[in-house]
Amino acid sequence: MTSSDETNRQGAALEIVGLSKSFGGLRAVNDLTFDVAPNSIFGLLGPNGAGKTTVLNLVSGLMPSNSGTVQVFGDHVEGLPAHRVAGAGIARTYQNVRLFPGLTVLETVVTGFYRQRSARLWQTVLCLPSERRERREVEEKARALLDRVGVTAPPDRLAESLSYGEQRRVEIARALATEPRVMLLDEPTAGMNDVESDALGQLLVTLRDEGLSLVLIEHNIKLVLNFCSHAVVMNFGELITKGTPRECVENEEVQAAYFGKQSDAERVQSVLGVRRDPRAD
Amino acid sequence: MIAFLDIFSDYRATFTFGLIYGLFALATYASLATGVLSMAAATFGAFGGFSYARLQADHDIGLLGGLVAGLLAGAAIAWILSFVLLRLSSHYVAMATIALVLITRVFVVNLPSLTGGPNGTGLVRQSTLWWVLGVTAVCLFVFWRLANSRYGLAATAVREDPQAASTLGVSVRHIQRVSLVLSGAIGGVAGVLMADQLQFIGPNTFYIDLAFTMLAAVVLGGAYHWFGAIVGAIVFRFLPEILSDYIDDGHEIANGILLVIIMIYLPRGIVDPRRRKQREHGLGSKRKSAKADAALAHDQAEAVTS
Repeated sequence: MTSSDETNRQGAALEIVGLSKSFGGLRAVNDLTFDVAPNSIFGLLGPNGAGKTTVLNLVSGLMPSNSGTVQVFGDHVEGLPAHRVAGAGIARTYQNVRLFPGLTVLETVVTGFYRQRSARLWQTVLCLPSERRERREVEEKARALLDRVGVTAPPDRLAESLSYGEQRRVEIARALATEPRVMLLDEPTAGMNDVESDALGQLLVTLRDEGLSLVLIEHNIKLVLNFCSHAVVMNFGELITKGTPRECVENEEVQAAYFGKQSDAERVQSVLGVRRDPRAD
Repeated sequence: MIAFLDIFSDYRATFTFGLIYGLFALATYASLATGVLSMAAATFGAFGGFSYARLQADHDIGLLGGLVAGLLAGAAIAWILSFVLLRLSSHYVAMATIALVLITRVFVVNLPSLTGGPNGTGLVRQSTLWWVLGVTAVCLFVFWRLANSRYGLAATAVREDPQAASTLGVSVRHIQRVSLVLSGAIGGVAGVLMADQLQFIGPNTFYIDLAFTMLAAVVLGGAYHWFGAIVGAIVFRFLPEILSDYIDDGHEIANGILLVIIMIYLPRGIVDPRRRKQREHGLGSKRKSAKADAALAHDQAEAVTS
């Protein structure tokens, strides 16, 4: 949150320029540049190991990048510790849901309101009415959030005892509680069935319409095609292509990254003695 | 009733010291609640105890003044130490605090003008069991208020997953520093009461024995709830007292066996909030694993498409 130039403020919700990260000799993210328009759902695609999650870790400040800049509505956040990045308006969820063991569903979401609350330690200890009021208000807001993301389990259940799909929704509610401007979702529909993922897609659309910008790592191609307006595809830490989701999916290089090169596929088929069915063409 | 009062007067001292150990355990719990495994509460106790002894000898300070002085001394030294300790990662914090307790003893021995050196310092007892009970009640009230507060939830988040906590905007360093200062304040107060009740403190009063006992009390009582520390400390204080009637010097062994049994059958300690929450919803064991759920969702998806 250093200087904020007015020209950029109107521009991108999230602007990444020349972002790089190496682990030893491995270039996990290499000179990545893209930007996410405000009020949009943006897909970050690529096969396993392409470096997508590393990008989210770099953006959210969980690990330092080697070079490059990250701006949120014009505010530089690269090099800031994670809690300051969160303060700049970035929230995220995790690929393998990371809820806090021992907390109930409601407590989990209330934890996300940390920055919105102002109660000091001594105010809490002295039972000041302001603290009690704040606690009530925050719990009310948390219940409303749980309702929005479609968690039906009782709020006093342990969050870790919910089904996987529901844990993901609790995690999204917790992230929304920080009142972010940009939200990063790491495979939000993993472990969900078609109906559930579609409901999640609809939720993302409502959130977008309310002014949130969303970045989505997703393997569910249907979801990406239906709900994302733009996407980038990564492979081996580098950007292969960007555009609308359909353009990305139809790109030959992208198909090669996911399924191997066509010449490779043909060679494998010839070795196996499998011929393509002519009627299929 | 008479019999009960007899027992009470028999064990009055044991109960008093049980509560004081409970306060030390509570000081250890305060920092453990944010994932900082620290035995520095013994050092905080030494600062509180020796400050009080000095003030009593030179200025005739009353107990209440002594408690305030102990609280401030403990909190101040904890705040200063936090800048060093919190630079270290988890296991090294524990080792550094053990070293700290050892160093504290060296200082106590070598500063005779302040501490009485190897001969220690005598004090006039001003506190009663009711004072100790009152102080314990105040400390427990503080923890009761903090649980589930803005700070309490942030502390749990930091203990369970510091990274996830930080992406919610919680400064891990700040929360851990607050918890250490809290630990220092309670440790300092416990040190004052300890000094006052013992009427004598020396280099070995706030030493490794105390550090390990309070840590064991937290493990025994339950490291996930503030009440566990007090329960653990009282059990650890009473058990050897009761057993010494039957087996003379065997109580140390009994303590060890008790700890092992608790670790095996109640790894989260006697007081465990999670067990209670699960019981409320009739969940004896952990529900379906994430994998099973994913498989179920996959099956459903296939059933829909085919």
